[in-house]
Amino acid sequence: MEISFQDITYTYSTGTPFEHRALQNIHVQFNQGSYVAVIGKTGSGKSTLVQLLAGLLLPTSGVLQVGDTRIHSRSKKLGEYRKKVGVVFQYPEHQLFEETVAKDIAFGPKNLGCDVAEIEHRVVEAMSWVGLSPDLRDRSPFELSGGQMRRVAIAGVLAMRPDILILDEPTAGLDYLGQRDLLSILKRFHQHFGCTVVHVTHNMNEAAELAEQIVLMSDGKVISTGKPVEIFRNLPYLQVSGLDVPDVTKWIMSLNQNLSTPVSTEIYELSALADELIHRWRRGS
Amino acid sequence: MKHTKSLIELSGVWFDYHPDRQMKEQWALQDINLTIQSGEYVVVMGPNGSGKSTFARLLNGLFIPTEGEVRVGDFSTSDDLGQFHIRRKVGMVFQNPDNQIVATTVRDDVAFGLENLGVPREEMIPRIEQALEVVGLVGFENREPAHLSGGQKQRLAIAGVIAMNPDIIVFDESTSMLDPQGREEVRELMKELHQQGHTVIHITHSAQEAFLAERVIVIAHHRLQLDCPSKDLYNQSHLLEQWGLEVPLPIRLRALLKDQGLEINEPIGNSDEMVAQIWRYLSKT
Repeated sequence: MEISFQDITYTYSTGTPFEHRALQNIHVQFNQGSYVAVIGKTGSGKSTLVQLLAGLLLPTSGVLQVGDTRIHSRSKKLGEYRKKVGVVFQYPEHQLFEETVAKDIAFGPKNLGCDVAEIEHRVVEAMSWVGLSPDLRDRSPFELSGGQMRRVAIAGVLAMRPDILILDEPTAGLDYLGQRDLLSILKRFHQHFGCTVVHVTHNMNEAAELAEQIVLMSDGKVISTGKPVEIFRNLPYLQVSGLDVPDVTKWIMSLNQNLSTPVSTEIYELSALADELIHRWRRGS
Repeated sequence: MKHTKSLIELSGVWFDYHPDRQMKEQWALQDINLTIQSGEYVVVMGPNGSGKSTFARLLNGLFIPTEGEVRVGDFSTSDDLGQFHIRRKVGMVFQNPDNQIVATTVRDDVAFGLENLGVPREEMIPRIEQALEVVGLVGFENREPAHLSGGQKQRLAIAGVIAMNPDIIVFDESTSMLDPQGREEVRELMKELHQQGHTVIHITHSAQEAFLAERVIVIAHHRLQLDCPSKDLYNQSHLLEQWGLEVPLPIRLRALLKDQGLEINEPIGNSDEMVAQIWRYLSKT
């Protein structure tokens, strides 16, 4: 489903002394099936944006068009819409509640009205997607390690097979290996099901590696959107927004200071950078 | 500040939450022996579940060793009087700033700990002012903590700790929930506190942060695996991978280049040295 934010403004606590305009005249489109990264520092409006997309907040003004659904300030009955959207909130492991891993993952498909066989199928499948061994299914999720608990929580959302998958800082607090694992799971899941993924992060490496489209937010506005290379080209702009370029880009930039033919800053994967350097070295010798 | 020879000393420390139910080889921390001198800046790295947070909590007597002893200055955490003194000496800053803030204004929040110590008002006022000055929150005294950014909240939590005049400050993944700007603010502050003579112990799984310290300790699989100056770590940081930790980008790049026949054997102490080496190889030709 194509997603289109049309002149959306969102104000918290309207008419109180705490009135705060979290989003201001947002115009942005996400293509069907694309992997979108939303970046911006704390308080830039990222979370408000995805809560609107999840149907948890209604715009104060403007329209959010998702496929055939139009969401505006007086929209009602978004129940059907919400079934199509899966949300992995920050620290999703805090939302586990069932007695066993399998029951927790089954909660979503059950609410969607899946029959028993389908629920079972999806639980098994989701556990394998996130790399949870089948013998953990009858364990209490609260006995697992933090990293495993996060996988259970994400499996619960994947089991709903959402058309739109929203992830708010999914790797926060995980160690390096845990982060790498989770990112590769998300990448494969996206490729396999073709759902639209909206991934909120302040890790530029993640955004550069995974996203087809990046949305850069600052002070409640979308200040730039485009392919990673279009966003990361503009270092000063990013720094004003409290962000940074990916580590690989930073490194290429310092290398380029000494090179007459600069290395392309469109490279975000370390292996691609190694290939480029080897190529130059061989050509020279 | 008082300079004792070894400020912190862990000897034969074993710890578990349920020592009666667990086999000893599965205990959360096993046979930890180390000393930390006054004024050191030490990074403790380890993957999720390695026992590094447990280690942090042993340092100020939040946890007491199941076997062995933790000494800070002249006191042991294993006796009540020792704990009383050690908790004043060792300040802790945790991961989530929201969990550490108790009051409705910035000033009251810093005052909280001092009130508990029974510090008289005339002494409290300058101590609060001074603490807010160190963390750069002067002018924020009457602000509501809930309305601060993540980095500001974490700096407020740090102000609350330094107002108590601890000799040692332990940061337990205190940057992991912050955006890049907030993270940078807190890292800068750690460096400053160290320069002012505090002993800083920083627990993290970021390789990038490890190189900010003078000394790096790796805890993995519940044991102390490595203890070396951070400048030595860079060259052997491929070791980090086996514990699931992040290897710095230039070292990963060097390994990839070696796989393709370009071997860089010169020692590399930081990112700039790698840039210089690559440049040398590319321009030699």
